[in-house]
Amino acid sequence: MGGVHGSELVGAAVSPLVAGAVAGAPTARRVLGVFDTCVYVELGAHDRVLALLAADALHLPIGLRLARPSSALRWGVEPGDDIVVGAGRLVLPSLEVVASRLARPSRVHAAPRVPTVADAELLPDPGVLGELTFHLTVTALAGRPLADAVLGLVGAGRGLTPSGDDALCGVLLALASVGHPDAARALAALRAQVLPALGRTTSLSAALVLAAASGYAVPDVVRLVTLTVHPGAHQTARADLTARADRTAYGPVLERVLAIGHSSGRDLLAGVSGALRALAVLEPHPTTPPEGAHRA
Amino acid sequence: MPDHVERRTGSYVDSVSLMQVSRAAAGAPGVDAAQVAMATELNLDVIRGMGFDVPEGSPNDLLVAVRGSDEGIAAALAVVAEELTRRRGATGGLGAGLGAAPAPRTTAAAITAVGADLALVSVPGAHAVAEALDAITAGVSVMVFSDNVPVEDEVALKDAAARAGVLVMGPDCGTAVVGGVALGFANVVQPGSVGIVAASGTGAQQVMALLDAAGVGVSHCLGVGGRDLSSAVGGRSTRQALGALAADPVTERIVVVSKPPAPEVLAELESYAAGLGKPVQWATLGAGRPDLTAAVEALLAAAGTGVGADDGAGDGPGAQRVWPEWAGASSDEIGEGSLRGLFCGGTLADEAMLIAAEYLGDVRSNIPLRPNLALGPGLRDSGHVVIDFGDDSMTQGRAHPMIDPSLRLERIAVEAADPTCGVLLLDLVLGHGAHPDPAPELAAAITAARETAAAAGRDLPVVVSLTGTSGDPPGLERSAETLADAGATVLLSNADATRHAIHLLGRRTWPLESGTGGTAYGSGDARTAVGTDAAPRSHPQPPPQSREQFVGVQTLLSSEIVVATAGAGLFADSLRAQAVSVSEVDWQPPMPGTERDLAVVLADDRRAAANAEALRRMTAAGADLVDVRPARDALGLEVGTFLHAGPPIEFARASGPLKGALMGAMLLEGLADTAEEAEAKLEKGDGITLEPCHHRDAVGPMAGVISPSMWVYELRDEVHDNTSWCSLNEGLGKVLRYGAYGPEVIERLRWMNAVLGPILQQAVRARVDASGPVDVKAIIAQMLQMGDEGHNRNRAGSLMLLRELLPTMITADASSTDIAEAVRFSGANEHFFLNLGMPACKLSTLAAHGIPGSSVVTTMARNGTDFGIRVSGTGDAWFTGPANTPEGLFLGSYGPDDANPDIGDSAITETAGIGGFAMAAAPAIVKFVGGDVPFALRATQTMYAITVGEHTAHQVPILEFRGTPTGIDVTAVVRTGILPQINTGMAGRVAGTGQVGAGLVTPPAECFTAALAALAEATHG
Repeated sequence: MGGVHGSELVGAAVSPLVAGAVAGAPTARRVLGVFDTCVYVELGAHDRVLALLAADALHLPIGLRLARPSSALRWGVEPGDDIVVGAGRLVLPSLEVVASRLARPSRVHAAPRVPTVADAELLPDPGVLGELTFHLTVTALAGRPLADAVLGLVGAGRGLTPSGDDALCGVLLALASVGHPDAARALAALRAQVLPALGRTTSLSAALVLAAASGYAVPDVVRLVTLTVHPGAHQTARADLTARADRTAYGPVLERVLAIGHSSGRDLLAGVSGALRALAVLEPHPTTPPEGAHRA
Repeated sequence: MPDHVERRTGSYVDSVSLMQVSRAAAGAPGVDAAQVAMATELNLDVIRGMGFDVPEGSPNDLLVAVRGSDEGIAAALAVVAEELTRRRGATGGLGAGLGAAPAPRTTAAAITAVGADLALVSVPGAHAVAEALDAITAGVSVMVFSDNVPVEDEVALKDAAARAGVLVMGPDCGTAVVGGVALGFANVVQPGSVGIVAASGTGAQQVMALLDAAGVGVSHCLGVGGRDLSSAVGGRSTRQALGALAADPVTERIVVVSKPPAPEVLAELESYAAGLGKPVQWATLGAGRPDLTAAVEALLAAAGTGVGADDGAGDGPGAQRVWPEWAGASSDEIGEGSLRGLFCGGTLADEAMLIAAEYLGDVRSNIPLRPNLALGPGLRDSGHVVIDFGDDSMTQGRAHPMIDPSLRLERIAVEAADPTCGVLLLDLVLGHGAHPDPAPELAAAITAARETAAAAGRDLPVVVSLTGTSGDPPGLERSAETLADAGATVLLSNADATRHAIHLLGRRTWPLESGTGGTAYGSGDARTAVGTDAAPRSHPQPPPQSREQFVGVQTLLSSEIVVATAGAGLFADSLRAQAVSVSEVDWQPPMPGTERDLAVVLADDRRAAANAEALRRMTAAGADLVDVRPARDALGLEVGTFLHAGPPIEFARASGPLKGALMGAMLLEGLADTAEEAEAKLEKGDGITLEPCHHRDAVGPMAGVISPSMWVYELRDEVHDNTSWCSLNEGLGKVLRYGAYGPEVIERLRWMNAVLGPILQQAVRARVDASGPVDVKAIIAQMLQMGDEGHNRNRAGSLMLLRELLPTMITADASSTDIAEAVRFSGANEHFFLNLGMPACKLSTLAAHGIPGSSVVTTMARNGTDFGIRVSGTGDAWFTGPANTPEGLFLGSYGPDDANPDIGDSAITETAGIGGFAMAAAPAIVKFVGGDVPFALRATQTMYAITVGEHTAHQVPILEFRGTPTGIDVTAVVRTGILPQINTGMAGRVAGTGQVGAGLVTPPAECFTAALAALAEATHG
């Protein structure tokens, strides 16, 4: 669809996670991967990757999202090509992508509630990844050394985003979703251990783990984590109707998450599940304020 | 030279686009005047007022009126054609390829197409409810830009939204920002933690601009519509929006912006807001209440954020704030005379009047604070005047002044020459949706005005209240400097601008008196500390609702949005420019005169479930061939009773083929010896009863005449315990069902009664005994995968049926000659199966009949004169209209003049979702009925727009085994104007002729509008 003469201007919503690189000085950047609905571009560090996303692509938090579907786009680049990123633009041979808006990628927010085992049971059986992430979370909560458990996961498994990384994302998101001082401490410790280890995995996966360490993930994953961790409890007056609405919302969202990648969605949920089981042993913290009380 | 005036039917274009087309056409060389508009009463007045002579027609026509030289008219028409094509291209886009789905025709379809989580409706107000309800039903929040929506519809919409956990922004909502995306008129704001609930568009923009200048970001700005805080609406959407923002983790404080609200509604909302756990600030204008600037200052003080303060120490409540200001040449002049405020923003005008009234006394206006201050028709007065050019009364037939400023620019020139004008106060609003760079034009008008005044020896100070942010496309600074260069004093705060203007009249208002800022509030958080004092509850209450029930709104607020738009194309364009995924509805007005009925029926909360149940039953219904019997036994037909196709009709009104078939049946039954005698007896009617097949749950193809001695197939739906019947097929050519009654026709019928019927009976009974009944439904499912559509192409179905029956036919107790002839006859007839497919479809639709509230069509049938439909929710009533004549291909030397209007019960196939609805499964059909292969694919794709769902068993391979479109929804037909596509045979017009061809036909529209009216009536009851 791109014009034969010159390149076409297309607006994009830019994630704040990559906005700095897009706004910076124009620099030649290497194309890492090209798919029907997206293009991955390195941003100068191993764990910094930008995803150029068609409207029908999975909404990765590291993305420049276009309003057009992939059927109306032609990337015209191959892996290994260089494209220019900067000054608010991505210049491809047949396409010039202009940053037209700062996007607001979905992000997990902490709710002042301790999850229960029953919450974790809403998710599919996590298998061995669930065991590994359960132990990882228990270790983190106990303040014990994490190096072995983390190194066992980073870059482990097959795929562009290895299973271990996906599970690790799940743990990071689960910890970020629980507003409890112990969870916050565990998250900080885990982050400190994970970030230096990201050289062991693919760039794309490293960038997504980095995003998850700040609570960012694709919208359906955020929605599912929120529906799993938050339901009911923090509002005691919550009506049946809402609980029902949540439950009817749950099935389709779960299905969509499981459909992500070859096994990425399932692996990520294994991490969420393992972490939630570990978090379920926490006592509600006496200083955990009810929602909104800190405003008074 | 004569004017060029033409009406174009079936081409709806939104009014904003048409204004732009009109302007382009009027600008063509040699053109004196040009107007391109939809033929509504209002537009007709405008066009007739321009002196054009306009022919009669439908309000849905597109009118093109041009005056000029011959070359000018030609040039204008070329411009119109080019502009319209360009605009249509935006919606048509990629949908042109073979088998591509057509553009969505309703908001529901557009939402489904892209998984939208917000709908934006800007269709004319009378039609907005239908589109908005689509969104609510789909669990999606909706912004309704349209105005002129009746208040009772607004209340109903908002109640439905509360039940669905979604938000209705509007009606008449022009401003919203969701997750950084501007919807309608909105500014580019930094992300942040302040959530805005806005019952006022420009009010919200002013608040956003002030917050932005203070370095405070906005999480979301949710519009609720200008009437939301009125007694009638009771703050329904405000409550919903407050709840959603309270649950939004990014939002930390909330500000509610409104024109003067109903006091009891405000009190109610204040007590609701007190329980939300987040501070809520009330920027609700009113006499004695703080202005918008003061409310923002209070919020900033409470949040501990200063504006323009050099040190953090002075940021407490009451600290003086300095909002951006750009001084122009006129800032020290003192005007002599009155205040003249010319505004584009209604709330800004309101605020200016409220402030001005404090210092100046009475201010006259077209939106007066009190009725006695209303301006007369010319909007002139020698005293203080504030005019809102964005008011509905000023925007009829033209764009909002934020897009097209011409009217206000003219008035500026008028004021310049008016010696009683002491100071000009103007607003200018930047941002999405507004004119892309409005400052230069306004600056030029200001310069000219000051020159005019100077020439008359007067000073004319000009003050501009400029609402915008540094992120807005033309740039706040640049716009302000352009205006200041023209001599105006420019202020970001509208309240400050108003006070400055009053100051320039020599009144003492500057600096801001602190008493005004604090009146109703005290400190910023005062409102959240309000106790649970019982608020007066005299106004109608919204339905009880859990305050956590915002699941749908939460989805909207927590991720990047995908939007479905219906109406003005500029909204979709603006969203695309912000890199938002958009699905645009190819919206057309509904059938004329149906707005109220649609609003009533669509709001019937039984409907969705009733239609889902109808579809479930239609797809669940079985169809087993269990017997073959004479009609006198099977249907209890007595001598002299004749069943026929279609809705009821008396012989005198019957068409040629139906008359011919009835005459043939008289001969067959021995009630007459000659055709003449048969006709005479039928005309007289003694001892003769005519009755629709449908009244006995039977169906008959074409004339559909069934007499007592004829044999019929008997089919059972064991799931719903229903039975249906249909006559045996006679083959093609000169046959009774096409109205032929010659000796060979009667002879064949006698043989069918004496030989074929009994052999088929034995065959079916033996088959039932040996291996159970023949599963006709399964054959239909299979034939669709073998190139049949089940109405006009039954080849595979007929062969499969023969395969089922042959083993027991050839072992029947009859002479081998008779068996051989029966087998040959059945095998030679390509439509052998049609007479089983039809009763199978009848069983499907019969199961769905009689569900209260359901708008699903359960019968479509024609008698050659009338087309009649029956609807699930309206019982046995027929809704009829004159049958259309099919268009298609003719046999031999026959031509269009030989064809009779549409006839037969066979449209039951389309009613059940096959036939014309399954054309994509049978591309070869186009060789028989006309059209081309893309047409066949498009026909099926288009029918999805008017059906409730898809069949589970009947599938179309080329559409990736998508289920056939099933369950025609009366409301969808009326809304889209898409009529069911029927494939049909054509009977000769003259009795006795037989078949003359086959083709395509649609029902008359009035069947559906009448059915809708009856559904609306049933809803009221």
